[in-house]
Amino acid sequence: MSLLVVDRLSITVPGVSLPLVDALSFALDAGGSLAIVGESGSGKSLAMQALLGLQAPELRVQGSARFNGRELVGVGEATLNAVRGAQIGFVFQDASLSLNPFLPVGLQIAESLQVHRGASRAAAWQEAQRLLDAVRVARPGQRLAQYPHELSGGMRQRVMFAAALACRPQLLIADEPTTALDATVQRQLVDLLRDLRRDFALSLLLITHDLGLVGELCEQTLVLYAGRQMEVGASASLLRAPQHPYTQALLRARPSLTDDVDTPLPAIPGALQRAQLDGRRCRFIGRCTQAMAECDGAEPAWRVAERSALRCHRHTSSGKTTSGE
Amino acid sequence: MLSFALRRLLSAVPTLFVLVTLTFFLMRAAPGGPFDGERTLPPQVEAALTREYHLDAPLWRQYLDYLGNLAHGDLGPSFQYEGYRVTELIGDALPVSLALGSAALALSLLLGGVIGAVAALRQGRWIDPLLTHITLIGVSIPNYVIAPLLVLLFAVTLGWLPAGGWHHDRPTDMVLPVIALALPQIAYIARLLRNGLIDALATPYLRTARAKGLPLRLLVLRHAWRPAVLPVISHLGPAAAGLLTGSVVVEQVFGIPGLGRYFVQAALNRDYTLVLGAVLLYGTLIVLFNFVVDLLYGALDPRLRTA
Repeated sequence: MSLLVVDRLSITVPGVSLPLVDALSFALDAGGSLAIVGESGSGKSLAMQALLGLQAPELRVQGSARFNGRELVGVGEATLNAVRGAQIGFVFQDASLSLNPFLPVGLQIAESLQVHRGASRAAAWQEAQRLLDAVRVARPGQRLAQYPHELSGGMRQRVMFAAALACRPQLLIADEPTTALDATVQRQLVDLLRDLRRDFALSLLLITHDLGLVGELCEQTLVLYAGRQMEVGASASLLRAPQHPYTQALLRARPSLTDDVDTPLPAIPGALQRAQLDGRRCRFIGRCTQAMAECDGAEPAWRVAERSALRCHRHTSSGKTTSGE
Repeated sequence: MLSFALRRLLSAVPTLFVLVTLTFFLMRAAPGGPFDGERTLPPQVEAALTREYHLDAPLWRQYLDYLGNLAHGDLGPSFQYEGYRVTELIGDALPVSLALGSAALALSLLLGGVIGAVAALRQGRWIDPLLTHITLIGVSIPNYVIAPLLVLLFAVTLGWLPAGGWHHDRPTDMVLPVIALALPQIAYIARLLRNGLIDALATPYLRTARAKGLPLRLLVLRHAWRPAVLPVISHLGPAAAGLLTGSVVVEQVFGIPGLGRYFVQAALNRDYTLVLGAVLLYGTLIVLFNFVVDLLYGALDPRLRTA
């Protein structure tokens, strides 16, 4: 059974016709994991925040997101608060900004236990210490009383994990949990996240633009470009044989250890510019190396093909991959 | 912590020394003198006065004498109020200004806090723009307009409160002057707190707190209030010093024997010692309240606490 079913989730700025997130649909099974990848500005973070009603208040959210059968879009704060932190944990990027600098980290871990479980202060702080231990923070008892600025970047991100996991949620949404950290700490956190998934029986939604993480942490991958999902498939096959030109370009843009240091880092030419987007043609057309006449005429439909589901005229007109269902 | 406090207070001494020195010589550099009036004094009388107040001594001598007396807590004789020491004049007026100022300060904090919090938490609904516009008016209208309007409405038209005066047995004397002093502050504090709270609620760490499912009560009373009140506290340092030393306008309109009038009168009359006394008092309060602000910042923000 699906844990989370997102159906045509759209997020719009009032008065702007092209949505920031446009009819995003996916399903996540209990225990499953899905990576959402795409460039900055593709709407990854926004879509995930909207699942918990955390988007900016002026944005309009439409569509549906059902978690354990319970609708999350358009419901009141009380309903959302029962899910937030309790059943869905959220780890934000950049823990140096996302932890409250005025409060000791123990309180920031313990507070959701007090709110959702009705735990006493003492019991909640004890559990906070166990959680810090679980995210492999050394001397957790001493850390509880410390403030975020007294901890290292990696430790702050571990605190974020501990706080998000305090109430043993079924689903963890992690928004670029390893950016802004050095490579060694990134490695440790990835290992930690993999172990936490196992130990806490977590489903995982991982927002990242680090394609290296994708194959390691998530069974499924969803590629988002300019608010549109471009390709969805099993991470293994998607990384090995990407179908969509955008996914292919993303994979080509990965720096390689064997490249000469003097060669410029590979990049997708052009930039994602919202002002140039047009809902009547393919969103990727300006930067696509394989664009055809059709791409300018109409936006390709979402098609479920053999290896993955994708949105590309190349894969509907050429007959190379016919729709499976 | 204690050594920090001591160091801060000691560092106030040179600040106040520079303040006194500058004020002393600037006052003397200003044209005119304490005994200039509409009628010119007979030369013998002027010579006698000059001698009496040691104004015939060289300026550096007068300056050193003043510092010497200051070290003993003596601010010298007033030039304008014959037979009074400056310490006596300030000693009589300060309690009046302190009473008015502290009442106005308390009222500003209470009402400014409530209005600011309500406006921030109702952001986007009708009450926020309403309060924001009212407080804009409050910030913009100077108290020489507000004070007479209050008198006109509550004393003349309605007859509820006395129009002025200062009697020990009539506490209602305080009501209108306190309101006149407090209104701009209420408006200012309300605006600072509203913006502070809205900014705090928009921080990434408040988003984290919301993602934990905390109720609004905890979001505000645990996560947002500290960053929200910091700008208010910064403002309160100098504002409190200003309120407690009185306002010349409010004292004039309501006929109150407070400190505020001395600042203006003494400067106009070239009452050198009284000007110095008033400036020294104001400077001391500014230094003191800025010190309190620093202590509060340290108490609220753990990043500013040094081990």
